[in-house]
Amino acid sequence: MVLLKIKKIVNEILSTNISIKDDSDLQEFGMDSIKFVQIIIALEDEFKCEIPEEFFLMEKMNSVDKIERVISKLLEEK
Amino acid sequence: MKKILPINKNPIIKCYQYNAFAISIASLHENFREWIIDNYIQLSFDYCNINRNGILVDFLGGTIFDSLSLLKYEDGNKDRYYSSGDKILSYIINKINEEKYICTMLNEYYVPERKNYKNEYFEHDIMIYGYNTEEKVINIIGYNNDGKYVASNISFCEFVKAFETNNLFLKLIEINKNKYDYNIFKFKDFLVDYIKGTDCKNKLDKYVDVSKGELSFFVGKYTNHTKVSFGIKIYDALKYYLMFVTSNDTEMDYRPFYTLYEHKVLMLERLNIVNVLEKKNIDKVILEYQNILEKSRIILNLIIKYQFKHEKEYIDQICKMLQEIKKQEICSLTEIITVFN
Repeated sequence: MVLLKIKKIVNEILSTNISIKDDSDLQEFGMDSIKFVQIIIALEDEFKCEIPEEFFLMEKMNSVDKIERVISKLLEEK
Repeated sequence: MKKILPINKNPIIKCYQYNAFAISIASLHENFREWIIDNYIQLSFDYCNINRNGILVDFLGGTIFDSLSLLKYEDGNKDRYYSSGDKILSYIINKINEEKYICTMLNEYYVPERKNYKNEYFEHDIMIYGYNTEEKVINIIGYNNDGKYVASNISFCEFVKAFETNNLFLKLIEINKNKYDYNIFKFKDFLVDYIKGTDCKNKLDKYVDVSKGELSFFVGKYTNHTKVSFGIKIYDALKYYLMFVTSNDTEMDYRPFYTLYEHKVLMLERLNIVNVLEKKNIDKVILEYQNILEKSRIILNLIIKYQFKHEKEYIDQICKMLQEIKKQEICSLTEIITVFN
């Protein structure tokens, strides 16, 4: 469920219908700093959590896999 | 017939065009790495520009207008008066054939891939680095409609219109083939000035204020620098700016924080080069500086987040991080100064 929601957010913000592999680098699908921050904001809204600033680096959340790990950990800690 | 001059399309400094164009060329110089060691160390913050969307944070160093020792400059302003109409095309072709890059202003209404293309008249500067007479295009570099520094083409026809309706300056630049030798004492001295927050313009070989330069499109604008902070003091200035933005509910300018980030990129590069060339063991400081660079990138993303959400808690986070970076940077650079004493 978490993964599906993440994929929906990523696809919407990157404006793509292509099926992005979980380990694909999102920068190859047009993720720049602005879109990266938009994804963070959308994730925080969707999962009602606050992503710590240490993850505000593109290389730490530049794939669906990595995003899922961060979000799952945050949800566990809730 | 075509000729494209070599150019670095991803220069290490690209926040402001007058630096980006210069570094795009200078980074092709065989001694660019050595040049990094004792140049572009000091930063300034101009309080007078807070309320007028001017340049807040900038490097003290050479630009497209003058003073970058890896480049040779020529004033093309005298030429622009008779280089109107189609004559400008043969002028450009001649200069490119002479291996000269051309910096000028164009009316973006006629420049493809710009947000004002076929929309409204808007002056902006570009740099020309090539031409193709068969395809009838000129190769230019500048900021596109997404604000990214990219190369693109403009047709001869549109170029003539864009130039005729808006040519405020013309500067010719070529690579200075002279060797550049760095000065390690100067490197250390500039680091001291950075840590102390000293105005060190008088220590530069030559300094041209971009807002006062004769050829500058800034002429008559932003020339009042009554309150300027330098070096480490810009952290407090940036905090002041953040408070100004929140208390006046004005638009946040991303660029000062981008320049801060570029300063860290360049400093880390500088430390790595010094480490190799001077054979000093500064690996520990380099590691520490990588963390400073990382934090400056986080700050940038927090600034973007603030631009979307306008929540003051992000400003508090940014201020806290600016304070942390300031402390870390004082420690790291003091250690470097000690090593080179």
